[in-house]
Amino acid sequence: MQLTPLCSGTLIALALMLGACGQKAKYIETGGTESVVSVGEVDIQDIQMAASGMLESMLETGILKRAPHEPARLVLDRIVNDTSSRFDVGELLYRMREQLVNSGQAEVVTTWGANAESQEAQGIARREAFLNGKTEQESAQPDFTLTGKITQLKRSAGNVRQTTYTFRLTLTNVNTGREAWTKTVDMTKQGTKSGVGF
Amino acid sequence: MDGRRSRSFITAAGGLMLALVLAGCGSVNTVSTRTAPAEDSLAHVNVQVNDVLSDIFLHSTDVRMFRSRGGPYEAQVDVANDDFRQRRFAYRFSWLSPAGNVIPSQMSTWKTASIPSGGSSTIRSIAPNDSATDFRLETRRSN
Repeated sequence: MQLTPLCSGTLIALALMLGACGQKAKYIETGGTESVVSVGEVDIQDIQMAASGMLESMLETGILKRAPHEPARLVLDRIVNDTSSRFDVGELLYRMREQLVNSGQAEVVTTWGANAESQEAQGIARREAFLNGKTEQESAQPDFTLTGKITQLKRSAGNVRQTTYTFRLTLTNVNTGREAWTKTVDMTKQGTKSGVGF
Repeated sequence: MDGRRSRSFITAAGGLMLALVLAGCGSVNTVSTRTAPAEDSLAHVNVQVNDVLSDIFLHSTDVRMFRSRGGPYEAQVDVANDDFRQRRFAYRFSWLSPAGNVIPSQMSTWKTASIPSGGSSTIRSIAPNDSATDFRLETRRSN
């Protein structure tokens, strides 16, 4: 069978039209129900849900209100990402910090330790402490340190894959050296491939 | 002719019964010692239904609000699934100030829940601070 030039042109035009029907990029609500859900990766909605669960638990127990200082002083210690998914743990921590610090329920001491978050502020604090005859850390003595770990459990049956991501955080009372609060948030996703929407 | 009609009626009724029994397989049976309503149940809540089909199968059976140990309010909403299959849905709590304004919070995110056929689940949320006095719950079905 031979194609006439008219028929060939129509087919090409049809192919071009179908090709143009692909999904165009658009803005969606961050962590909203239109988000991409991946089975083997930590998604933004997982981080948002984990941060929300941690904050709810902290507020529910009232641990920050029982600190010697008001607002409670926190030092962020090591949070280990022990999953195969690459993401910055700051994605989790900054969301929590924003809620706690901006609402006046806690303060993050950014001048503490050998690897202080704000080296400049630490230098100024040291100079001020020296001039006032105090030890360098006395003015910013924290109440709690925050440590944590993110782990994963992967399982599969046939071509169905399942991953559970577990977020764990712990507050340690620096005055007693004891665990004051701890919380685990699990996130389990199952499927054969990534999808859009949940 | 009448005999044939009644036979086909019996067959249809039997088929329907069998379908209902099979659909009921895997449903959740629940036993509870609590017979009285919870003390913190709210008598009046404002409900706006846009997805009628979803509301038929998936609906709230009790709404409670009380002060948590740490001070802020805790909201608990019991959701029952009357469908013959597992239902997944997304939900989001937003908390309101005494003046009725939404309190922006990192805790107000879309979360997911899954309820088996005939079962129920309690979704909950903690207010972002002690001054929040009301909440708004949005739900959206996933399947």
